[in-house]
Amino acid sequence: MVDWRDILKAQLFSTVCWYRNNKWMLITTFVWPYLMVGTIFGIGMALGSLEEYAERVGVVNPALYLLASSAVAMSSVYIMYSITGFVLENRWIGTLPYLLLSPAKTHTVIVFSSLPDALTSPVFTAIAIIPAAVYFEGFTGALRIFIVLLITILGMLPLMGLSVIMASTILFLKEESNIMGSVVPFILLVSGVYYPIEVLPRVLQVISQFVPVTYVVEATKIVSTYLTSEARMLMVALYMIGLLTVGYNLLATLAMTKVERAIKSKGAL
Amino acid sequence: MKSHSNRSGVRKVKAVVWLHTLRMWRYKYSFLNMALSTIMWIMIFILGALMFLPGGEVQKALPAIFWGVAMWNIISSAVWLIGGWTNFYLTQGFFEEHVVVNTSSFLVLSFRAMTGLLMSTVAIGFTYLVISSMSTENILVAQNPTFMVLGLVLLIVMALSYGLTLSALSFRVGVPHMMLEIMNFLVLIVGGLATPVSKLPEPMRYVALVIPYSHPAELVRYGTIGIKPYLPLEITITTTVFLTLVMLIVAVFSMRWVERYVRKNGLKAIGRM
Repeated sequence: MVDWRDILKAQLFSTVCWYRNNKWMLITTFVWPYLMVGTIFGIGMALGSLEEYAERVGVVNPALYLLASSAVAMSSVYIMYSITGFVLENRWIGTLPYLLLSPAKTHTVIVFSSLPDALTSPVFTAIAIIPAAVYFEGFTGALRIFIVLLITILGMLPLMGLSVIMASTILFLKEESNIMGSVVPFILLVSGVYYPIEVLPRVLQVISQFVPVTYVVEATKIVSTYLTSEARMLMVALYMIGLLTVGYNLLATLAMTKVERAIKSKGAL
Repeated sequence: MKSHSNRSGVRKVKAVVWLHTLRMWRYKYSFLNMALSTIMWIMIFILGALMFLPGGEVQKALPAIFWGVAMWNIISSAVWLIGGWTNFYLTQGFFEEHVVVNTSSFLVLSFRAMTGLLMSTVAIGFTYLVISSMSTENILVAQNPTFMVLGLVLLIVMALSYGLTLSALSFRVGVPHMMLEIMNFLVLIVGGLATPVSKLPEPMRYVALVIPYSHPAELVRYGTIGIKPYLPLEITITTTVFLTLVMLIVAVFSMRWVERYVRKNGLKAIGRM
C-alpha cells in the first residue's frame, strides 16, 4: 500500500536528481536572494538612502532585514507554486490521471509530491544568505537566519491547505498556465515584505491580517532587529501562524473531499 | 505560381492570427492572471524602493517610476510570451504539427507579439491605476510626444527581436528560466529603465549604455517627463535606431538558421525555459 512516506521518498529522490542535472538552476538558487535585494537596493539608492529606509521601516540593520525578508518572500510562498505547478505540469504531460489512480488519496499525492521542492527552497535560500549574515553580524547573524528559516517553514503550514484548493481550481478551469500565479504576489504584496503594511490602502491592510505570510514577515522583522523587549511580539506572530494553520487546513480538509469527488465525476483532468 | 504562393502565405498569416486570437479568448483567465501577477510583483519592489525616499519626495519620483515599470513590462512580456511560450509550444508537440502542414513555427511564434503587446497594454493599465492612486498629480504626461512615440516603438521592436532570438535559441539549447529572470532584473536595475542613466552611479552608467534598452528608455523619459538623455539627443536617436536594426537582423537570421537546422536534423532540444 502506497502511503505518504513512499510519495515523499520518491519525490525527494526526483528533486535531488533534478538539481544534480540542473546545476545552473542550483547556482541561481543561491544568487536569487542577492538579486532581489540588489533590485530594491539599486532602485532605492538611486532614489534615496539606506538610512531613510531603516527609519521608515523601523529596522536596525536594513541590509540584513532586506536579505532575510527576501528569503521569506522567495520561500514562504514557494509551497503554493510547488503544489499548483506539480498539478499543472502533470496535466501537461498527461501523467495526472495515473497519479490520481494511485492508491493514496489525491490531496496526499499532491501535497507530499510537492513538499521536497517546497522545503529545499527555504533551506537553499537560508544557506545562500548565511555568509552575508555572518559578514554583518558574525555568529549571531547566522543564528538569526536559522530562526528565520524555522519561522518560514512554520509559515508554510497554513498555506498548504490553501494551495491544495487552488490546485483543484486549476483543474476545473482547464487553463494553460498557472492562473493562481497572481495569488502569490498578492499575498506578498499585502504582507508588507519590504515595507510597513501601513503604506497600503485600508482594505489591503484588513486582508493582510488573514494572510499567514504577514506574521512570518513580522516575526522576521523582530528576529532581524533582535530587541529582547519585542520577544512577546514574536510570540504573538507565532500564535497567529498557528491559529491560521488550524483554520486554513481545517477548511481545506472539509472542502477537499468534495472537490476530489467533483473532479473525478466531471473528468476535469 | 508566385501568386499561388502569396495566397498561401496570406492564408497562413490569417490562420496564425486567428489561432492567437482564439487562444487569447480561450485562456482569458491565464491572460488576466499574467498581467496582474507581473504588476503585483513589480509593485512589491517599487513600494520597497520608495521607502528609501523621504516621505515628501515620493510624489516627484512617481511619473519616472511609472514609465520605468511600463517599459520593463514591454520587455518582460516579449521575453516570456514569445521566448518563454516556446517551452509550451514544443512540449505540446506543436512543432511537428506545423511541419506536417508546411508552416514555419517561427511564423506562429512571431505572431505571439499580438498576445505580448496586448498583455503589456493591460499590465501598463493596471500599473497606471495603482501608481496614479498614490499620486496627487497626473503621471501620464508627454512633454514631447514625438520622442515618446519614437522611443516606445523602437523599444517594442527591440523587445520583440530579443524574444524571438531567445525562442530560436531554445529550439537548439535549453535556455535556463532563472537566467532569463536574472537578466530581466538586471535590465530593470542597471539597464536604465527604473532610473535615468544620469542618476546611476558612475561605473553603472557605462554598463547601462552597453545594454541596448537604455537608449530608447532615455528617449521615452525625455518625451514624457522631460529628463534629458545622458548622451546628446542626436547620438541617443542614432544609437537606438542602429541597435534596433541589429537586434532585428539577429532575430531574423537566427530564426531562419534554426528552422533550417531543425527541419534537417530534427528537434533535439526541449525548449526549456
